[in-house]
Amino acid sequence: MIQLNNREKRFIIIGIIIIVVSLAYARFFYPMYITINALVDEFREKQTVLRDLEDIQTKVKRLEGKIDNSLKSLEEVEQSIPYGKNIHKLLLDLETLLNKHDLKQHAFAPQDAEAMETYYILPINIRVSGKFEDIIGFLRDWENYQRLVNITEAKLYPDDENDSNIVGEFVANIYIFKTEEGFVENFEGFTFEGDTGRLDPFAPI
Amino acid sequence: MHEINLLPDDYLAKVRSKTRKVFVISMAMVLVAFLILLAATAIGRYHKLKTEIVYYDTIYSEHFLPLLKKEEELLKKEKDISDKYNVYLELKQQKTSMSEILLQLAKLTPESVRLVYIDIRDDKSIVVIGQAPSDTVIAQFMVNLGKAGNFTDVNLDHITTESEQGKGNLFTFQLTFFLK
Repeated sequence: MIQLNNREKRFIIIGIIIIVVSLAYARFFYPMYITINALVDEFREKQTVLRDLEDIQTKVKRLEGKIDNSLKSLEEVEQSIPYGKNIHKLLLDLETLLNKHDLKQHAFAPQDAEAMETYYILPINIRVSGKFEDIIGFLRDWENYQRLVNITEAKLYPDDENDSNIVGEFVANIYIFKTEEGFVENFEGFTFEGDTGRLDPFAPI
Repeated sequence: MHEINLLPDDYLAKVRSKTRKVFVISMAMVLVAFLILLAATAIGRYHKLKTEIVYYDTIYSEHFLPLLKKEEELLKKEKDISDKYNVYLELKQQKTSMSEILLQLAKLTPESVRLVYIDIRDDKSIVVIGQAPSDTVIAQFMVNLGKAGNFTDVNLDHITTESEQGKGNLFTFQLTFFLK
């Protein structure tokens, strides 16, 4: 057996200690230190989530309030510029206006819709006849119609059939919002009571 | 006085070696204890951080993400409403008040002038054909239009004096002007 002197023994013990500490450092403490540092960074980053959460909660509440207020304006806008042509409603309302102003309708012809970026323009040609002041009254009512109507062209000339009347030819633009589904027509709420259809639709009226 | 140690040298050396061994073992134990403590602290910190990160992850996935989604939807809706409203305002602004134009034209027409044709076009040009008993009245009509403020470039295209049956000597004229 090798006999070690005190100096050699001390050297071996110190060596073992250094090796153990180095191994512990290299295999455990340093990786742990790196992992913990990474976790601390992640933790700090995620701590901001809580702060952001409060910000977003406030923002969402504010947005909800703002949208609630805007919904009323949107209703007005959607009534003025619907998502469908809704010509049936226009016809009904136009007839009411014509009767109110004692005018005779000669033509009503919707043209092809012109596509813009977010909406369509649908020009409608209308020809009516009656007194000048009645035509003005009709135009005024129509300009204030619930739907946005822009009368872009007008032609007025005396009526050949009745000298005291004049004929008015108008081009009125109505507008329709674009949707992914195309034109969304609203046929709800229109009831025509008493009409059960005809046995022979070709029979004279 | 001098203190004399009468113990033999080898005994003294043995005692000193024993003290040193105890010291070395104590130091080693302290070192090991220190390392164990350090390791335990590091592991404890690691687990604490892990737990808190899991907690924040739960908050993130259960509260933060749905809120973010909701915020995105609300922003989109807000933009949609605002875009639609802007389109509405823009179109409303473009609106031509045809009834007012026609009414104003009627008010500016002198009493002895009869209009037989009014054509208001999309490009804001207006063509008016009428009948008047004299050039003066036509001139008056032109002055009225020019002074009104809503019309510009009032031009007389022509005057014809062809008299129609039963209408005496009426001048037929055509004016072209533009809406401001």
